[in-house]
Amino acid sequence: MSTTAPPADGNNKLTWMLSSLDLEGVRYSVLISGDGLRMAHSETITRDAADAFAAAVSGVQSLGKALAGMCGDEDNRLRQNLIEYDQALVLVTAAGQNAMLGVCAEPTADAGLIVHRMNDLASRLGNELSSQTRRP
Amino acid sequence: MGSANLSEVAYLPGTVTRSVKLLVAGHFGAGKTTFVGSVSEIRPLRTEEPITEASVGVDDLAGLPRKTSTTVAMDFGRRTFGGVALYLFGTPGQQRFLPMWDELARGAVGALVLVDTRRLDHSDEILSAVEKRGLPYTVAVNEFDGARRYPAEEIRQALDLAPSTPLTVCDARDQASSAKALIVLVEHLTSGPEMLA
Ligand SMILES: Nc1nc2c(ncn2[C@@H]2O[C@H](COP(=O)(O)OP(=O)(O)O)[C@@H](O)[C@H]2O)c(=O)[nH]1
Ligand SMILES: [Mg+2]
Repeated sequence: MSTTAPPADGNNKLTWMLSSLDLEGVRYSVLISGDGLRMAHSETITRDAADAFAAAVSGVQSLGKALAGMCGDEDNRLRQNLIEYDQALVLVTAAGQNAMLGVCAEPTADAGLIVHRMNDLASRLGNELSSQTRRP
Repeated sequence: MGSANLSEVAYLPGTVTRSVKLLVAGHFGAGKTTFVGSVSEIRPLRTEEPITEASVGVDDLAGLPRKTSTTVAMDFGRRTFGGVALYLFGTPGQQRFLPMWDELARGAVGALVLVDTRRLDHSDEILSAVEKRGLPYTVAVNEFDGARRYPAEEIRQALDLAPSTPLTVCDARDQASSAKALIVLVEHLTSGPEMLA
């Protein structure tokens, strides 16, 4: 297990990890810590926009988890979040401990393929993608 | 991740004639989640996530030795006083979540702003966010153990509060104390020009 977490990194060294999500119809992808900070982003989105996307996506994912108990028992784990808009698809999957992948795609994109790649990436890089908890 | 199990929900008493949506706002670590949790009569909805290394240099944990999680979407609880059901929506505290306030604040008639006197300066952006949305509010100082106590006048000055804005103190961990702070807000809302609908 790595001891140093990927930083919310200004120079975006982790972008390479996200390149497997450069699929037809994908606009951008962001690696996000559970507490809503951008850890890496694709080159197709600005850092500021990725910061805002990260905060919003963490909220959606956490609300999804809060809903789990209302539509299942305590073992009801959230696998993914899919939000369909007039003008976009937003897909979110857990990626290791306290981290998630968020992708914004064209509404016509192949969501199945994108999710498949997101899950692949999440399991291949599980530990590296995770963000360590802070000790106060 | 607390979530209400339907069978455990305390149903609204039949005497409730009005329902009111309120925001519980405040900076990171002011005690919003604790407050909503202690004052709510239903099991609160929470969106607490572990604080990670990614937040080093962003989220200031100074003076908060036991804070290991943070609200990333909202807290939700309900408290009934007489015929009025107060629906409490707690906000996340950090700047990165401020854009989400627009949705959370929709339909709210007022806000309780919690502050910790050890970081009063962190309240500026919260107060502006509340004022920007035209929400009437009261301020409650959440008195942390070991934090210095200041005269109300000094706190008012530091926060640049209008003379008409009520300032109270509370212990967010305490049900009765938190309820009192809510009552001050409700009284403020009913006395002001912005009458409860
Ligand atoms: N001593 C003391 N600790 C508190 C009080 N209110 C909250 N806390 C603790 O302070 C930390 C921050 O509280 P929290 O409710 O998460 O703050 P939030 O970020 O505003 O939601 C937590 O570890 C709480 O247990 C209080 O009134 N007194
Ligand atoms: Mg909170």
